[in-house]
Amino acid sequence: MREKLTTLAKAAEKIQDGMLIASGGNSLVRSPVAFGIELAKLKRKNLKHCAAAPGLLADILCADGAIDTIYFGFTSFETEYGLAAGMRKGVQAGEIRPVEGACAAIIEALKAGAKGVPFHPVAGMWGSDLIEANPDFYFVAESPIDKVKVVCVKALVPDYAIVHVQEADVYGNARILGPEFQDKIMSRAAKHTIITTERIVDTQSFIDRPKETTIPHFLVDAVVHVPKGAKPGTCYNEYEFPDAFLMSAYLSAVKEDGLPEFIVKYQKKGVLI
Amino acid sequence: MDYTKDEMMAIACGREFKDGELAIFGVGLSMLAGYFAKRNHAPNLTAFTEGGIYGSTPVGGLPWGIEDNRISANATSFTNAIDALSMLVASGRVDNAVLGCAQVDKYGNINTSGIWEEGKQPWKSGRYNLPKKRLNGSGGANEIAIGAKKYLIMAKHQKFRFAERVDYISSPGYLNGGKDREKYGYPGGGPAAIITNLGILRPDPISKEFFLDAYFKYSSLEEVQANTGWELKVSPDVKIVPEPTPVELENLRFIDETGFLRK
Repeated sequence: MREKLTTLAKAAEKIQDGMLIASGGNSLVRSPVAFGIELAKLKRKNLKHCAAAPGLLADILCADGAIDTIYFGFTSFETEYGLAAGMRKGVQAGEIRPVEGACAAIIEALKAGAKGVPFHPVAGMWGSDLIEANPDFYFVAESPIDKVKVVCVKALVPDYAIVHVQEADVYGNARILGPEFQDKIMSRAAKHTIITTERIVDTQSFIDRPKETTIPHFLVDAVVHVPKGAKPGTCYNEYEFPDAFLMSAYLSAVKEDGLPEFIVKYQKKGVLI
Repeated sequence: MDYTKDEMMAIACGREFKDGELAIFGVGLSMLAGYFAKRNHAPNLTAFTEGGIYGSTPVGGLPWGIEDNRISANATSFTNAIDALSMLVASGRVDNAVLGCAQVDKYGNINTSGIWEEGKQPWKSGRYNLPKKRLNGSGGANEIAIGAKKYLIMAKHQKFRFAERVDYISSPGYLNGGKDREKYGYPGGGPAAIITNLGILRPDPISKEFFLDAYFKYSSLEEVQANTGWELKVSPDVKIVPEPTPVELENLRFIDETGFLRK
């Protein structure tokens, strides 16, 4: 095993213009926000992002103008914080192309990517307008055996998956405590995976509890130790509630085109990682 | 009135759940309605979330989202989104669910994707990528609409929301009505009711067009009709929904610890 511990800045440098990236978590939960902020500073262009419910990382990059295409099932910050402001603004301005799936459709597309097959059938979907509105992502196939029709999605193969976890070792073995959403599949679909982690733990703990390992070290390119790396969102067992003040400051910053100022101001105050 | 209209709506929705059901809820009002049912009359109802949190009840107040730690605290298993959405929901194992929406039409199709200047079928005019308002997307609702044995739709009764036909079908109800769902071989039965802040709509067993089945004490036939964007049929024996009982209110308020429905 090779040590892969690095800094946020060095890990973010790996993401180049035009790449397809995927980020883990769900909405405000366990999104690799600190990585997203670091990447926003690099002013990348034409990135594509995919996730079932893209979280804060994706929204920050949408607000930053780095993303031109977003594959998603659901984009919202839910009951208290409403629609994802950056994504909405970019789409309504015609700057971001929305490729809408249902959550499961995006994950099945990642699953196809993980297996190296060109497409994957999805349970359901047919009859909704999502199919006809996105002909370069969906098609309907018929089984020659029993003539049953099924909706299929085209494979997604991210250049990088970025996943925030509670525990990882220096080699990249990573453990998600709490629900994993789509993150295990994402790490298998991507060509490379970057882990940001709340804690660096000893490899012995993975040897002791091997069934709990979500992502094995050999799929991982870089490990960054970032306590509170999902703030102002949440992380199971670490911090339970979104930071209400920072969330509303973020949403206003997006509205007023003030994302860079927001990042500088709150990083300086030490409340944003 | 010693209860709010939102509380009436949550209780009306909660009454649609039966003991022993396997259910999936969305955020906010629908989650309160579901967990109210569990506390009030359906102790063996089992709920899970689309991200993979199974068997829990909220602890410490209304969760801000479906994957909030308040809903993870006493879960009996953690899995993932494909396990929840494809293997449990789309496959037809779920008994009952609640969906919210931005628009719903007379056949119970829902739109949670966007509002376009052009109205219906925006991709045909090439303007799909330029919505007037981009909304949150189909999310896990599509699998629920297709796979749940039945489900309930909750929506604020407003004319622009209750459309003859939604701009865009994010999640199918009865499509063009009648037996249209059969064409697609969905395992689930479709929407059983639309619960609004004014009353309860149910589908005609044959045509599947939603009609007014009952309204709340503080509403009226005129108010419901004035806020519906199609010629709403009314049941010949349209009822007034029974008001919350003191026990129902007590149980709802236990779940709604932070007073979300009383604001």
